[in-house]
Amino acid sequence: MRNLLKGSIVCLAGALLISSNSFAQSQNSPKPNYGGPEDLYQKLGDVGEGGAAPRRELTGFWAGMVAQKLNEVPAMTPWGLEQFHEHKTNGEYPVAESNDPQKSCDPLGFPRSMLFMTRGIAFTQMPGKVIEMFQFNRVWREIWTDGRELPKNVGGNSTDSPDPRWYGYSVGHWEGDYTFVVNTVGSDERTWLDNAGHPHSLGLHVEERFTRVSHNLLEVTITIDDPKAYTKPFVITKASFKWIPQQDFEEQFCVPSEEEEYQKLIGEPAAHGKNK
Amino acid sequence: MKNNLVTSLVLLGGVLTFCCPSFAHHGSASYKTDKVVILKKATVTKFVWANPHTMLLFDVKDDKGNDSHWVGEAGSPSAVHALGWNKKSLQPGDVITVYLYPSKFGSNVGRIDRIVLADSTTLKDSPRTDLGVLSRY
Repeated sequence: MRNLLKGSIVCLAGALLISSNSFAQSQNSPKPNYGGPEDLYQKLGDVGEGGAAPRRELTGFWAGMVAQKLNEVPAMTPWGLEQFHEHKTNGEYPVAESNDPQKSCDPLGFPRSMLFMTRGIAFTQMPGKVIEMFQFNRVWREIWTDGRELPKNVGGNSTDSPDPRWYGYSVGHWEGDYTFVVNTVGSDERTWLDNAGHPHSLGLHVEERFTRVSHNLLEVTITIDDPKAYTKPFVITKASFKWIPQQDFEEQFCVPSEEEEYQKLIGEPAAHGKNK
Repeated sequence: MKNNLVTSLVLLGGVLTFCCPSFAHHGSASYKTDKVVILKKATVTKFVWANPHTMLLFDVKDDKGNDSHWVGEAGSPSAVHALGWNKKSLQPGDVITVYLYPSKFGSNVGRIDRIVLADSTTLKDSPRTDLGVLSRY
């Protein structure tokens, strides 16, 4: 009888092994040690300038990184910390135990949609507004440029108070010919600020400064101001996007039925050991 | 009695592992990232080419000759397509070798590191060659 059961143990001495559990209580997650194939942003490499930046023009399809590099958040308020500790991320918890709203294909919302799954965004400009479209889930948001003010008292008790929106309310204007400034309020509190589970309140105010550096390059600086959740305003990221030569996105959706099958086949058994 | 289940446990002692919620669509918190299980002579029963992750269902004979049912997940279709997979890469009945990071909770579930087909083609979940580094997709 041939015994095909083999055990070989290879020990690789040298580096330090750190438990991932030590991050569960930290406010800011360390860099991941994830691999994975290149996203389009990486594959495009050095796109060069492609010519001068057109004046007051963002229209087109842009490739971003699948997840932007985010700065550390400042100290949170007691309310912010309370929310943060209630958020169980996909990375820290088994998927079956996570309460990340993304798990059930809930809208990423804003500004999380600009901080994660930003592999593709597109703009189109029309009279009175700019439409920003997101590759992930093919959702869009309106950025009004007709001079209107941001709504006040979103989610208030008055009968004419605007309702919160998953993607908030946005207005925009040009500073000079190459920087488009967008301000957003009214983002639904059910969305997370980012993938690390940082929260935001309904009082969140986000400023995005899009700068058309050249024909092929677009940069954005995103500032968070949410006194209910954070002790001071902060720049959460400075991100760049590259012009997509074919001006097209592949389709990417979070599909509830596919998520359901995933939870049944993988999520639940992986977390609770019941598939044998 | 032949035992067709061949399992090699490779301990990756000393390898730096992090779990970063900021990057993972679905993270790897369920899996032991410091060890890889190698399952030889695995027979594909179903290959799910769908988001959020591709999934491979397969059977491996245990030491009593009974089928042990397994499920492995890999990156999304768009992610693994970039690494040479397609929706027909694996068919029911294919006999393969599966390298995966097993569940921490004892179930026959894992994150696939790579699959070696009968013709020696390797389908990887990540372009990285070092074990212990899971794909972020």
